[in-house]
Amino acid sequence: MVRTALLKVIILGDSGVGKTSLMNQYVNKRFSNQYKATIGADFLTKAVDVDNQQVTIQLWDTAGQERFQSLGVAFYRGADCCVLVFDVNSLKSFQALESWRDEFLIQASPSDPENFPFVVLGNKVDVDDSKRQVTQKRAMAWCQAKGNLPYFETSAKEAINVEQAFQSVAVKALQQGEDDNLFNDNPYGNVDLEPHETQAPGCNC
Amino acid sequence: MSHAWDLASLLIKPVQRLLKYPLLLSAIIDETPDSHSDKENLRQARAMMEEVVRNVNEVRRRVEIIKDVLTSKKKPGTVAASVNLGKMKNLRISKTQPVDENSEAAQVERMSQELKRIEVFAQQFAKSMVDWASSMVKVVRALRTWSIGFGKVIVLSPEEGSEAFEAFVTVVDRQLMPLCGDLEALIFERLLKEIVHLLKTMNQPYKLLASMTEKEPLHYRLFNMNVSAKNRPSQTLFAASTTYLALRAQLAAELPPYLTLLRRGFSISVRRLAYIQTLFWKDVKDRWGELWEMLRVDGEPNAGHGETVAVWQSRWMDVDDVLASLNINQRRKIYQEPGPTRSSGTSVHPNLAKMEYTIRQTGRLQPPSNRTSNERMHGHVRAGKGESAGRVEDRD
Repeated sequence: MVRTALLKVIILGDSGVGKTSLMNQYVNKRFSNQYKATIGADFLTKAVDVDNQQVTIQLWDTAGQERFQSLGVAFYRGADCCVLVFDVNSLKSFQALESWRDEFLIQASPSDPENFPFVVLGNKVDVDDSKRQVTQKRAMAWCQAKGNLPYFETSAKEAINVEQAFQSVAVKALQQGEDDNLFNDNPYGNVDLEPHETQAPGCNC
Repeated sequence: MSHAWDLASLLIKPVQRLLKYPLLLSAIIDETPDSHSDKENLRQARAMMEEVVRNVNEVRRRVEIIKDVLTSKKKPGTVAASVNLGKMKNLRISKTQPVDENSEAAQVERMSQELKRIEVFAQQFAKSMVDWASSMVKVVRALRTWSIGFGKVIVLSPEEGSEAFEAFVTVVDRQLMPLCGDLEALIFERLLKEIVHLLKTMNQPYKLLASMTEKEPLHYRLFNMNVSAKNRPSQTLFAASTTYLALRAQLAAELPPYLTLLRRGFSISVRRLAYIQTLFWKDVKDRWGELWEMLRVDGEPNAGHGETVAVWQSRWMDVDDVLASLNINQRRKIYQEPGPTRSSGTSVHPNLAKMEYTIRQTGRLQPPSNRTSNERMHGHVRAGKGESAGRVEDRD
């Protein structure tokens, strides 16, 4: 029996760039025009085939851990791939990618940060060209500089490139997951059930 | 759509839930009309939930920083060395500026000094305690040496022993020696170990305080820095300042209960020593009391050391004279009874003064009294309680 690989994927990016919409489009083939800040599920899962292998992608959506570094560690830890999303119509959201990437690397502290797989998505390409603030050339140049990161221009609304983008994410995540497994079967570390010696408050009298 | 659950996914749930309360409350607030009476309550609830999340985050962060400091093998000074410390000294808040007595920094500083005072006290206390126990052993050994010497002086032999003398030596050998042994064991095996254990608990607070002190100038440097686009503080400076604030906050929160426990711990040690001392002295008193009871002459009260000293003086006064006349020991009195009522006892015995005069005059030894030494010796044995004083041989 072949064990289905479970791949943990974190989606990061400024508020309102369409992280949840992209996830929903990919997993549920649905899009809602009405913006709602993410509150719902902690993660969505989808079974996909990668090179004839069954894998389950687990897409993790943030719930405000960006502001709470210490609480975010558990959220980021053990990720197999990180998806950086920006809105092509917002220069600010593109400029923020750098700090999202740094934030992820600090928090997740992967074993090989130089080669950790990121996939960059420029979302909302369905919006009128006149409103576009980040050109494809500029976005690709940044991805090139950061170690040849795969770049996709997507629209969650029109379902443009979403399937392809996440397929690439699955491939990258699977590679990463296999690399990790070479070193450690359990990327989260073993649960230590031994009691630890702690300094009991008070004196022993 | 499949549902894949693994341990990490489940464990993150409560963390995520906590973070979601403010978001969920925000969503409810958005849906609640302004006119609704719950609107304000909801806002308060959200503010409080955000505060809860901030606190959890802050505590978690501090725990991580403290764990880092406590587990790092790094010697202090490494961070400071990596940042130019050149101009840092004068960037600290100067002493002339009014310092808020109730500020967190001042509180931690006071508690740090209190910790040092407690440590000094504990060290001294432990030393005095050990010295005291050792001196008790020394005293009893000296008493034993003296009593054996005394036995030789009064020429006791197996044939002509003294029941009283043997009883005395037995008290010293069989009663007081083991008592002192037990006392030493109790102090070394128990009290001292407890104090050492308490002192060891200071290591972690000291390590945190040292790390805090090391980062303090870096924090004040950042604090007083003119930050501009060109003059951005370095990442190291930020990290040091954050660590400083976290350590200070944690120390301010944890030192008060720790100091309370520490003081309680040491006061228990002090009380325990007092208790051990009380028991010890009571045991010593009982042992001597038993001996005294055994040797007591009918009608004589057992009124403590004053009585003993008086009896011994009346008994042995004459021996002082004889010893002095032998000119083999110093005239200096080893023991002087304090207090003005006994002042006459501290003055030179009239006979001794007289004898000294005689020696000066004649250049040779003259018995100062009109009685012969022979008479006095015998007189002494008769006058004293023969049982307790043992026998003095006639040397004539």
